[in-house]
Amino acid sequence: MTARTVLQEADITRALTRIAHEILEANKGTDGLVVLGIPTRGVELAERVAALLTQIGGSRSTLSTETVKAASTSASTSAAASSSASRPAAAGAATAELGSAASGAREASAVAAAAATAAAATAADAGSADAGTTGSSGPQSTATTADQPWVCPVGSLDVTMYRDDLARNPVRSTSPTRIPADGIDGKTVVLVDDVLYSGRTIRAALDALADVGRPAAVRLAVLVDRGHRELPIRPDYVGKNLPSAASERVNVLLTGTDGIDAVTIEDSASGAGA
Amino acid sequence: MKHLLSTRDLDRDTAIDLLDVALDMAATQQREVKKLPTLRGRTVVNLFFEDSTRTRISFEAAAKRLSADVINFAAKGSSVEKGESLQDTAQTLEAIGADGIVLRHPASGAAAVLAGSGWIRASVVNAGDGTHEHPTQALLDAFTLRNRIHGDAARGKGLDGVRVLIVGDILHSRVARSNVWLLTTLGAEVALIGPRTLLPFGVEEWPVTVGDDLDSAIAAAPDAVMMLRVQRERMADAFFPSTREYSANWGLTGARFRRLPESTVVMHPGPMNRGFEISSEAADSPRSTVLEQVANGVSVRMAALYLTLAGGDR
Repeated sequence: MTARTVLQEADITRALTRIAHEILEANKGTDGLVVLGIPTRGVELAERVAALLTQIGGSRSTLSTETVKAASTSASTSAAASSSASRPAAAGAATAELGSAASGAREASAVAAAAATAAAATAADAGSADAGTTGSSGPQSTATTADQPWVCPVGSLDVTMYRDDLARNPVRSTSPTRIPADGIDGKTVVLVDDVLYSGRTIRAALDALADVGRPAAVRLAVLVDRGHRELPIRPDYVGKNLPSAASERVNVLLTGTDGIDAVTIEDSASGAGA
Repeated sequence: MKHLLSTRDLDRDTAIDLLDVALDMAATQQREVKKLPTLRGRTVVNLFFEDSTRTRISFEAAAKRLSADVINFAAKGSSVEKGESLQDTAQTLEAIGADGIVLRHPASGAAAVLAGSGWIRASVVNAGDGTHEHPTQALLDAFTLRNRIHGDAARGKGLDGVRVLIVGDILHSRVARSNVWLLTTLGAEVALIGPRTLLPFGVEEWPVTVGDDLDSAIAAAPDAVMMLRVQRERMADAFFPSTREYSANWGLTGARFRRLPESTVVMHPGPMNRGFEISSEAADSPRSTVLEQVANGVSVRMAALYLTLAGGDR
């Protein structure tokens, strides 16, 4: 039983930060991201990845359409008050300009211009007879919600009741499943687990996910990929590839659960782990 | 856990674990797809030697939500009436392929006999045996009470210091017995109130306080009041002079209900005799958990079936 440390605290932090950046890059921003951890240790990892996503994604206005919307509504408060006459004419151009702003235009004036027309468009769409009151009250009420920075929705997904090896092992207790309030329908769900091994846990997770809702896409992030897959499952984001023998045991220790951050590998004659 | 026979032999950790699993089962019942694949390929037989629609339906729903195949066996009109023994019936069911038997039987101890006899390999879940125990009912009562008291923070918690009043026909009530053992195991303080004639022999040995004055018990402001059904079908003798006298002394009338603190939970295992042991005012109030108990019954029975049937260590 000689345990060798493969990843230390700094390595784990670095790996998770890289994974968070890769998620934002592949997703082209924060749109529709939901992070779900698989108990036990996947949940803590998911919370850390989500915190990193919030930290990185929240500040990237070029990548985030959410933040573009936030900028547009705050700009529109003044615009709506000044230009009530130009509204119907500008409404047509609003959608096209907002679209280009979202796809990466960084110039502040372009965003502001799009924002003013976008606000006008929503006011016109509302079809209110009294345009003045809609213009003044509408953007203000949305501004309060849009001004809040984006926070990555995070939850947990218990797969115990979907496992294919229940009858082969002693019965195990279940863990809570927490799905973010907005659900997962149409979202991009990133599943997070500590060690990817046979792939059977992930298969169970996909089944569990299908019972909760219908995501637009499901991605997989793991801290350690130790190989030995038994199913056609491949991770999208990997902290560390760790070639291992089936007889070795890979342990992931996390501060919240174990009091320390580390990944160790140990020889154990008694067989497979993780 | 191979069998679930009584709450008396459940230790605190096992009981809390079962309630936590029930919490997860309850959460799955809010989903779009309520059915779990957990017990696919397993067969559960509801073997009922006594009439019980509510308990049987609850177990049936629980087994079906876990994808088990369910066979309902009612003793009425069956081979049992032709004189077949419990052993032969159970062995016949196992030959058909039963992995789990949910047993309701009029004889106290029937479930323990079936589980300990070596006649069958199937798991046995006691769904009520005579006047002995009804463990899943007590578990769902504890589950309901725990949710009411701790709310979202219920996971992992017991019922420490919670004062529960169990009122009525303790003598014939297996629900009361199961609740006494389970609630005290979970740390609650239980008081039994009922007519002296309906308190069992040897009750002073139980870890509870016993009395016959409901009004003074209500004045002590309990956290929960559990009203028991008066089981007239089990009463060959006269245990109290009249139903009106029973209702006046031990019924949760509107007046008594109004004297309870706002936070007190009112429970009843059902079916209720409205206007007899419980008034409609109490039964229909927001503090009543009667329907909550029924809904929670499915989750708790899912947990019981999962823990007894799913593992490979059976």
